[in-house]
Amino acid sequence: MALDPITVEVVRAALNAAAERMRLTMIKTAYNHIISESLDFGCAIFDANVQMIAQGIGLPVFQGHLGFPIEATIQDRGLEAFREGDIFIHNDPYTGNGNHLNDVAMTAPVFWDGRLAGFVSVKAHWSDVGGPVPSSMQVGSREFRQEGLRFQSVRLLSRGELNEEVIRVIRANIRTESGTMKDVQAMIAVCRAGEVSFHEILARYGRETVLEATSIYMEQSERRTRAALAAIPAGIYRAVGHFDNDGITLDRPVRVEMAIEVRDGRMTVDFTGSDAQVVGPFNCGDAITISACRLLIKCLTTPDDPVDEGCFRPLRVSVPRGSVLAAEEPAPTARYYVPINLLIELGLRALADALPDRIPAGAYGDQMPTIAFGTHPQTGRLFIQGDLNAGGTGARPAYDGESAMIIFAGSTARNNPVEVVESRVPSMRVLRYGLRMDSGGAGKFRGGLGVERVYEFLAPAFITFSLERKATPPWGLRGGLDGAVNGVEIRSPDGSTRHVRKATQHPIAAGEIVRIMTGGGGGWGSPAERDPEAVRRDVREGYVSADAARRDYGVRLNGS
Amino acid sequence: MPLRIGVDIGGTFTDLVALDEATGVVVNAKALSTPSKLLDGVLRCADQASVDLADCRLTIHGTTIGINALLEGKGARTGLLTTEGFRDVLEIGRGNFLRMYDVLYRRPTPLVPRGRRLEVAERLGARGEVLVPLDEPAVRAAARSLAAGGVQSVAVTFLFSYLDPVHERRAAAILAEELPGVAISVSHALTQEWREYERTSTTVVNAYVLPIVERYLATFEQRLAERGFRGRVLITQSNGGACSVPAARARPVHTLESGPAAGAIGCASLAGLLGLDRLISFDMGGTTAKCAIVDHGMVQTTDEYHVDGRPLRIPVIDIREVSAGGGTIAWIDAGGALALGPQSAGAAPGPVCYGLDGTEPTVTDANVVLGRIDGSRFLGGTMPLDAAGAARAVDERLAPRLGLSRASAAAGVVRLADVKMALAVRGITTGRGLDPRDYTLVAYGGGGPLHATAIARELGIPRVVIPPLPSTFSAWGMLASDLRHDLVRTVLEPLEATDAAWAQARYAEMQREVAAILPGDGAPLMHRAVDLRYVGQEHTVTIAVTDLGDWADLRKQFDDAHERAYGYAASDVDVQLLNLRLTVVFPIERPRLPTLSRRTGSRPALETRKIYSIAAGDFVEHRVVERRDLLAGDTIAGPAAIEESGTTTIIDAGDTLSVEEHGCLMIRVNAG
Repeated sequence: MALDPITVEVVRAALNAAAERMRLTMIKTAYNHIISESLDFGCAIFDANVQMIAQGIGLPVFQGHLGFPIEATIQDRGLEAFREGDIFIHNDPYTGNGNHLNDVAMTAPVFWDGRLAGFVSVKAHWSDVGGPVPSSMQVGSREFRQEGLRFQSVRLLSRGELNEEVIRVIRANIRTESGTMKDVQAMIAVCRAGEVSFHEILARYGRETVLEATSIYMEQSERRTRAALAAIPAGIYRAVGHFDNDGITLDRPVRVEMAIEVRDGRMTVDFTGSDAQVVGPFNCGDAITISACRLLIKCLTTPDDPVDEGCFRPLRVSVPRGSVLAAEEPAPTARYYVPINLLIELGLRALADALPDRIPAGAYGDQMPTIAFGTHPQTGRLFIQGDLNAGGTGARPAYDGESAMIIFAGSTARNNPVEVVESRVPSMRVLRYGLRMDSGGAGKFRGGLGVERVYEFLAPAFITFSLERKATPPWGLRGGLDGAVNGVEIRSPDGSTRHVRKATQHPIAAGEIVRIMTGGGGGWGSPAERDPEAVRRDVREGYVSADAARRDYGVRLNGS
Repeated sequence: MPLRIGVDIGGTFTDLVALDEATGVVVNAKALSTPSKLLDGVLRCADQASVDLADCRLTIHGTTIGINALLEGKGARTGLLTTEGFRDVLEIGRGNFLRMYDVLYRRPTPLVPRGRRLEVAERLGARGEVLVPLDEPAVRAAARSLAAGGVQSVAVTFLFSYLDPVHERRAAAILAEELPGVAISVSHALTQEWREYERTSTTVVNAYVLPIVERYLATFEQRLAERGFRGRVLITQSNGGACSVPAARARPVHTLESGPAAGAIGCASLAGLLGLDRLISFDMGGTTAKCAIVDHGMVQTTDEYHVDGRPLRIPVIDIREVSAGGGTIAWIDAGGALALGPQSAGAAPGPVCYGLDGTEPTVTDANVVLGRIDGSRFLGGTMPLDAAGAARAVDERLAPRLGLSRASAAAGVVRLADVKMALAVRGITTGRGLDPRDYTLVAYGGGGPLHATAIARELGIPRVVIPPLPSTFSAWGMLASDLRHDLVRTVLEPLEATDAAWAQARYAEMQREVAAILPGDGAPLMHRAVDLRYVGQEHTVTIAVTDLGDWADLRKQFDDAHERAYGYAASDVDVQLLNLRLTVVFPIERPRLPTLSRRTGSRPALETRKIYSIAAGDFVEHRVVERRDLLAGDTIAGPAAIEESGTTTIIDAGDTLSVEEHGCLMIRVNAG
C-alpha cells in the first residue's frame, strides 16, 4: 500500500530541517568571511542512489550540484569504498566538481542497521589551496597545477579516524594563515550534524518509510516543474554572448552560445557553438555548467517550492566536451564563475520574448571579486581580504532595476561592512561607498546603479582583479540602453592614474587610492517612453545627471 | 482596591486586563480597534470592565502603532546625516537577495530618499581615533537644508560611533539647536555594535516612527489623566521587558514587537509561581504559532531581527513563528502534496465552520471534523460552529485528492500542523543546543491546548502546562513586564588581553549608561554575558558571566560551549571577545493567580464523547470535562478533553492531568 501523503510531508519537513541544521553549523563555525558572510558553500542530503532529498541553501549555483562529486567518487573508487565513519574530499574540476580547486566537496556516507542509507555532503570555498598566490586564484594560470592542490576522492576520515597523513600534506602546502584548516574542521562538523540528524529521522520513521516518502515527494517536485514548463510556449530559444577574454589573450572575447528547447514539459539546454576551452583560467567543468542550468530551471519554473532531485529530472543539458563549459584536463578553472554567470543571464535573455513579463534586462556582470593581500601592519602576518562587489541589476518589465545587488550565481552573498574590513585590516581605509551616478542603463524602466567603493592603502599590498562584461555589456531589452561597464582606477600620490581589468597580484603602493566601480543594469523599453517626472525625480535624487537626462531621455530640467 | 491594568492594542481587538493586586482576581474586556480612535477603545474597555482609572497604580501598555506605521509606510518625513562618502549605505545594504530564485526580486525602498541623505566631513578610525574632526558648520548647513525639505525627524549615523560617540553627540546637539521641534535619533544611543548598514537601518527606523509614537503616547497619557489616572505608565518592549514613557518616546524601535513578547513574559511569571526553571512558551493563534524559550525566568532574546527586510540591531525576544494557526488553510499543491499555509483565512472570512462565507478548509475545520472542538459549545455556546460546513470543505477540497477518508484527511491536516509546530520548537531548542526533554511546554492561545500534547510527545517533552484563561494569557502576561534594558557593545579585544578588572571597568561604564535610560527603584538584577569566537570566525557564542571573578574561566567555558553546540573545540586557537552584553532588570511585583479550592466530596461522573484520536487512527471515547468544574488536586487520565470558553485541551491515552492549586492544568505526557 502506498504511503499516506501526510507521512510524506512529515518526512520532507524533517529532512529539510536536517539540511538547515547543516547549513547553520557551517555558517556558525566557519573561519572565513567567504563562507560565513558571502555564503560560498552548499550542503545537501542524498539517498543511497545519490538522489538529492533535501538541501540547505548557501550559494545558489551549488544547489542541485553536490551529487556530482559523490557520483565521481563512486565512479572512481566504487560504492564499496564508502564505509561507516568515512569522509571523502574531492575537488577535481574535470570529474564531478566543475569549479575551481578552492571549492572542496566533503561527503560522508550515512549507514543505518549496517546498510548504506544515503549521504550527507557539504562543499565550501577554501580560502587557500596552495599555488603561487595567496587565495590560489589567479587570472593567468595555464593549468590546474598552478591553482593549488587537487583531491580526487581522498579519504580524509577512515572509519571515524582523521587521516593525519592527508592533513599533513594539506597543511604543508597551503597558506595556513588563511584559516583553511579550521574551515576543514568546521566542514567535518557539518557532515556530523547531517549524519546525526539523518539518523534521528531514520530512527523515528524507519528506513523503508523514509525511502518511500522521499521518492514520492521527488515525483511531486518533478510534476510541479513539468506543469510550470508546460506554461512556457513551446519552442527553441537562443542567445549568444561573450566574456571578455581568458586572462592571457586579452583581445579575444570568448563565445558562449546556448539553445534552450522547451517542449512537452521538458527543457533541453544545448551549448553547441560555444568556444573550445581556453588557455587561461576561465574554464569550467561540465558538472558546474549543469548545476547552473539547474539554477536556471528553478528560477524559471518553481522558485517558491522546495528543492530536490525531482526539480531537475525534466532537464537535459548537452555540453560539447573540450569546450569552455566542459573543459578537460589540464585546463585551469580558477575563474569558472565567469562563464557560469554569463550563461545564467544568457539563459534568461533567451526566454525574454517567450516570457515577456518575467525577464529582466542584463545585470552588471559577475560578482567582481577583489582579493587584497599583504602583510598585516600589526601582526606582521599575511592577511587576505576578499570582497564581492555589488552592482546594478537589469530593469524589469514593470519597474526599475535594483541598485547594488550581487547577482544570480552568488545572489545570497553579502558585501563586507566597512567597519568590519577596517577593523580586520587597518592598512585599508574606505573613503567612499556609494552609488555611481549615470551607471544604470536608460529605458522606460531604468537599470539599477552600480557602486563606487574607494580604498586608500596606508601600506603596500597586492590586489588580484578580474573585471568582466566589457565585451558583452549589461544589455538593455526592448529598446532599453546598456548599463555602464565595470572598471577600476588606481591613483598614485603623484597624481598619475592607471586602469586595471585583469591582474594577478597587482602591486599597490602606500598612499595609492583604488576606485572600484561596478557596472549598472541595462534599461527596459525605450527611454523616450519613460515618464518625464520619473526622469526629473532621478535627477533630483542624483541617480541621473542633468546631462544624461537631456541626452538619453530628451528631458530638460529647469535651468539646464 | 489597588489595580494594575494591561492594555494591548492589536490589529483587530483592543484587550484590557485589570488585576486586583490584593486578590489576584483578573477582569478583562475587549473592544474593536478603530484605527482613528484607538484610545476610545481603551476607555470603552475600561467602562466595560467597570474599572475606575483613579484606582490604578500602574498601567502597562503594548502598542502596534510603531510597527504599523513602518509596515504601512506612514512614518514621519525623515532625514539622515552620515559620514562623508557614506550616505548610500542605507540604500546599498548588504547587496543580497532574500529570495534567491526570484530574478525580479525587489528590495524594500529606503525610508529616507537619497535627496534627504546628507553627508558631513568627520571620520573615526577602527580604533576609535579621530581621523577627521567634525565639520560643525557643515552640520548646521545640513540642518538648514533638511529644515527646508520639511523633515520632521532626523537620524544620525557615523562610522565607528560605537567606539566613541563624540561626533554623533556633537552633531545631535547642533541639530537640536538648529531644528527645534524636530526629533533626533543617534545610532550609538540605539545600538553599539559594528556593521554600519545594520546600525543605520536601526537608527532610520527609529527616526521614521518616532514622531508618530511620541504623539500617540502623549495623547495616551493625557486621556488616562482626564479619567483620573494618577499612576505610572510603562510600555512593553520587544525584549520582553518594559520601559518608561520617556524611554519609549526616545527609542520607539525597541517597542515594535511588544505584542508577541507579552505571552512569553507571562510564562516567565508562571515559571516563578510553579517553580519551574525551563519553559517553552507556545502560542497558537489564528494565523501563526509562535514559540520562545524562558530560562530561569528570563525571556531569551536574539539580535537577528528584520521587519520587511530591514535589519534592526536590537535585542528582540527570540521567537520562532510558523504558519500553522487555527485559520491556516490546508490545500493540495501542483505536485499533489498536502500543504499548509501560508495563506490564512484570518478573522474574515475565517474557517469554514465560522459560517462567514469561508470555503477553504483550515486547521480549525479539521479539529471540528475530528470532534476535537465541540462546535455546539464554542465560546461558551455563543457562537455555534458549522460542523457540516467544515466536513463538506474537507470532503470537497482534500479527501478525494489525497485518496483518504474525511477523518483521515482531517487527521492529516492536524498531524501536519503538529509536525510544523514541533519543528519550530525544535529550532529554538536543539537548534540552540538545548535539550527539549529538559523543558516544560506552556501552551496558550486559542489553539495551543489542542495541539500541545502531540507536540510534546513528538519532541520528548515530559510535561505540558495549560494556564488559566489560555486564550487571553498574553494580556495577563503583560501585567508582569519588568523594567528592562539591554545594552550590547562591540569591543573586539583578544580575550587574553582582558581580565576581571578590565571587565569591571567596562561594565561599570555600561551600567551608568543604562541607569540614565532606565531609572528604577531598588537594586536591579544584572545579567552580564559576552560574545566570544575563535579568531577569524564570524559568528560568536554567547556565554553568561554570572560572576566577574570567574573571568579567567571564560576560555574554558567557551571551548565547552562550542564543543556542545558544534561538536568540536579549537583549544589551540586564540579567542576574541566581540561584544559585552548587559541586561538590567528592575523586577515588578508578579501578578498573583487566585487559588482554587480543593475538592472535598467525590467528583461527579464524567460524560464522554467520541473524539478522533490521531494516535489510534479512529474515533475513541474521551472523558469530557468543563474546566470550570475542576478543583485543585483533581486528576484525570487520558483520553480526555477539557473544554472552556476559548479552547479545548486534549489529553491522549497514557497522558495524565492533575490540577495545580492556581488552576493550571499540569499534564504528564507519555513518551509514546
